[in-house]
Amino acid sequence: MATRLRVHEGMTLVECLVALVLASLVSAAVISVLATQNRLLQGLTATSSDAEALRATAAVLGEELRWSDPARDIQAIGGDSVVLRAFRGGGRVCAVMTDAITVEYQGARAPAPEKDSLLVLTGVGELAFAIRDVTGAACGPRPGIRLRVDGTASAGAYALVFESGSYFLRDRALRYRLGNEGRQPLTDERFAAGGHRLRVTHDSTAAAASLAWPGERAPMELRFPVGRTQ
Amino acid sequence: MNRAGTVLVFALLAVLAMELLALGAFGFARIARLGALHEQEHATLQAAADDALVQAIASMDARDILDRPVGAQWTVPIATSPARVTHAAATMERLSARLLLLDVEVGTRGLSARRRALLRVIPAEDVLSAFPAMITTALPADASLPAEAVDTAQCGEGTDLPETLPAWAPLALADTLPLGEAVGLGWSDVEAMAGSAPLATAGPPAFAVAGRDTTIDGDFQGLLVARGDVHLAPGARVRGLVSARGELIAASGARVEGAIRALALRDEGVDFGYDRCAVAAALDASPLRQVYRSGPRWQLPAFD
Repeated sequence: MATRLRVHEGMTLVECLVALVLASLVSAAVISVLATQNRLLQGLTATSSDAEALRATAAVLGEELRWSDPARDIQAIGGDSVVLRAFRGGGRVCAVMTDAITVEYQGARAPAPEKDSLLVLTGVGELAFAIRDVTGAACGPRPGIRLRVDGTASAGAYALVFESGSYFLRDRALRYRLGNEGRQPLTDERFAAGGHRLRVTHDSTAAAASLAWPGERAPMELRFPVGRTQ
Repeated sequence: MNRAGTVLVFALLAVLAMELLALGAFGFARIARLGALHEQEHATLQAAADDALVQAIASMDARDILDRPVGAQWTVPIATSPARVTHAAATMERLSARLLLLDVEVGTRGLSARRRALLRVIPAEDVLSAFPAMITTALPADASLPAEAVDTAQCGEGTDLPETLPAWAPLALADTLPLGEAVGLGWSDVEAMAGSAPLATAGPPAFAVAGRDTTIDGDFQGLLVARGDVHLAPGARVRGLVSARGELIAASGARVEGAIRALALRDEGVDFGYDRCAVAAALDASPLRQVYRSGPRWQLPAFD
């Protein structure tokens, strides 16, 4: 006589309970890990944004101050701002006329008469001019520009085109203002709220900027070589 | 699914979660490492560019530059390529009689850094133009000169002899310019040129600068420019050129081979012999053959 084996399908109540407990434990662990990871991610993102804001500030201010002559180019330092001459291009003076000079120009952008001025380095001193007009020209076989100015300089000098602008902290971001025009944010809004948080100091060889962060973190000190006189 | 299968599935899920975490951590670490490497490479490149600039300036000889026409461009050798840099190149352009533009570029693996500097050569005549040209013998400008102490053939081949003394037109102090106005340099610059040894007593010709009254009581060989009076003590031996903005007081027993330019001379019995060879050697003093920064704003932004 054949024996029918009774097959038990499914799980017992105890097995279900054990599985549920295990699932809960694993889920809780995974959720906890995910929450921790999320917090870490937020922290990393914040740190990364802070670092990026700091890096951008250091890069921008460092690049501007690097080429400055502190005594002449840093025009004013406020509680949260610095006003300076920012160089945007330059080149060899290859030809001179009574009211214009031709420059073999290279720069971040083309000179603009309404906002730029000219500084001509002669090797003995400096001459500053307002730019009246800019037209295309040539320095021999090489391209150049003709700048109409009130005055004259000698051929063989070196001309620098600059604009006057100010860097300042406002609404928690580093911003740049060209002359009296609007302000452009250069970083995310990562810095401490309120004014008087960017302090720039300088001597003949270095400029220092102190940037305050939100909360209790100590202000970050940045130092830049300046003037390149050594 | 039996109990073992359930446990296995949950275990696999747990391992997967751990792997995801590890992968995330590894990704963050890799990004941080790449950032750090980039920063390090950037800093290395900037330092290498500064190094190359210094090397290029140090390798130049003002006499070679003054032989080139205004507008000339040439390559400046950089003796040793800075570490971790695949290429380093420097080009010089003579902008005007005294002004030079140096461009330096170093690069590695697609990154590059540039330096641009405005430099100048300082011929000895520029330095001397700030000083009155009265001669030790206190002779009038058109007077005949004492015979030279040596045969100029002894100067050696290729020596660029200076003009004879009458060509150095005497200037009254009022007609001279302060050094800074004459050549665009301050006393501190010229003192820096002269280096740390104010009065060389041996070795190759020196370029010495005295910012005030000075006394020579031993041997001096080279070019001395003094802002005040120069006292030659008994026993002092000078071979070269002394240019003083003040008075020269030369005691008996002192000896000069070369030339002296001073506002006035108090000759107490100095043994003086004009020697163009000594003057030529003094004017060839190595600091005057160097290239100098053009002024406070000597490094310029290099725009592409």
